[in-house]
Amino acid sequence: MALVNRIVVAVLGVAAASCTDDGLTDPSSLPELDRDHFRCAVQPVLAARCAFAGCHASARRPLRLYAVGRMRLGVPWDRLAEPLGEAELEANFQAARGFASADGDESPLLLSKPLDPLAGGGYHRGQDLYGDRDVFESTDDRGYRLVAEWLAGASAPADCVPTTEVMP
Amino acid sequence: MRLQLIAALVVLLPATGATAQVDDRESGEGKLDSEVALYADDDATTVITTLVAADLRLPAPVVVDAHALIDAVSSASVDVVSAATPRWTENRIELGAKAQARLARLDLVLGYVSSGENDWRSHGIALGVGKDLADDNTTIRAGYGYTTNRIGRARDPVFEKTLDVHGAELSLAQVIGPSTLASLAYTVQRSDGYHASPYRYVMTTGGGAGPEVHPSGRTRHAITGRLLRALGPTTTVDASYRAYVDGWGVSSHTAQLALTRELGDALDLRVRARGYYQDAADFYQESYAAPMRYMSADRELSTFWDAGGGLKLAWYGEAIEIGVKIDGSYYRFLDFGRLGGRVAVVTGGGITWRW
Repeated sequence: MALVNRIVVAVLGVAAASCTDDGLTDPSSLPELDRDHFRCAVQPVLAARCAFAGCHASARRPLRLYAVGRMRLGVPWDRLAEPLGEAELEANFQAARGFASADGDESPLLLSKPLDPLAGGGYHRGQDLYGDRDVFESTDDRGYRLVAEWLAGASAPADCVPTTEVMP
Repeated sequence: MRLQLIAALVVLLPATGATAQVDDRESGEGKLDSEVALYADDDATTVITTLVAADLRLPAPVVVDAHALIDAVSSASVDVVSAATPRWTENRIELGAKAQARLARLDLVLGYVSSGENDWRSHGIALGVGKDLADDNTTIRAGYGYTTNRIGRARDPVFEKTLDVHGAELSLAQVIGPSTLASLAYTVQRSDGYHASPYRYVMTTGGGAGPEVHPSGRTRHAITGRLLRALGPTTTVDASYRAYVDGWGVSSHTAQLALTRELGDALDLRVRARGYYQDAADFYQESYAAPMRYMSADRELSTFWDAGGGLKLAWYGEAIEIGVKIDGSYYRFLDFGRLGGRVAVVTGGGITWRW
């Protein structure tokens, strides 16, 4: 079809030939985010609030999360309680980073979708499936603030210790 | 949720025929159409379309018409299932009105269409003007349309996007001989706003994921050539070819051939065949190794072809027309991993009452 396509472009002339937009195949401009802060502050929140088999500890979900005792990457069933490996943490980091971009002055999906609509969040099917309460009931939620700080550019030292303060 | 088009395309009202609509009809003449059609495919999607339309020739050289259309959609297609969403059903309701006038030897068309469903609302206007030249053997027409769309996300009070579409068309129709008519049309369209789907996500092979991101602007160009020729007193052939390119790198070719034969004084049979081939958008990939500026999971932006055909039988009574049709198509997606192909059937019927 290449020859036919060239003919089509020729037929349609200058307007068609010059109209293909620039930058269509550029790499993503996803924000640079700190991996250590993710591991110590965000991963514990995602593991405690999101990474359940019926939710995001599932390969069917675009935001798929690995967590101890739940979905694992290349870990046998009898070792599910072992800490997450580097590959699992990196996959979770990349998955979360993919939802970290904001469109204009909107909040990133990683913040807006799990936030209760009454607090300004968007629709989240998890709220329908698992009760009236959404993941973050307000922007004062400890977990919400940890994720928000990471998206705002917070960093942590390489020897940071994962937080346990992740529940509402 | 729009099944086929992310962008609501500008409806350029068919200026062709405006003269016949106005000049060939007496004041008070009109018609009432009702049609029902069923679309079903093997990707678990069905659409039942119900249409009611009416028009009336006014005492002035003006024909006005109005229509109401309902699409009842039910889908558990691969797009839906892969987003971990169960089957959904919804109705789309479209209302429209149009006026065609003959004024100062010009054919004028003005129309408005409104469409609404649970996550999409659009309003469109269209203007058209045409003029016959060279003893009515040549007709030139120009049209402009504008559609504004407000896009939501089901059950999401926060998500709201817009998409504005401007379109224009210039066409030339020429009588070549006593039994042949040829036409050529150029269409250009510019859309700005949200072109992606809020329901589609793209996963990368590296473990990343994110919402589908399409460029915010799109410019489309198309040229369509058409030839109608009478093959004897009872048979007509209608052949057309359309070439299309856009700013996203999509190019396509559409060829269609229809043969209509009178089977008697009041019975027509139409046989139609259609073929389509499309090259993918520049930023479309079957799978992405790393996050890209633009990423799509829309199979309508992939490389694919389709081929199909159908039959239509129409009976013409003194005041009543009845038509039935059946069309089938096969779609082959060449770089869309979740769905290799799809078979679709559209069948329907309609009745028209003229007075």
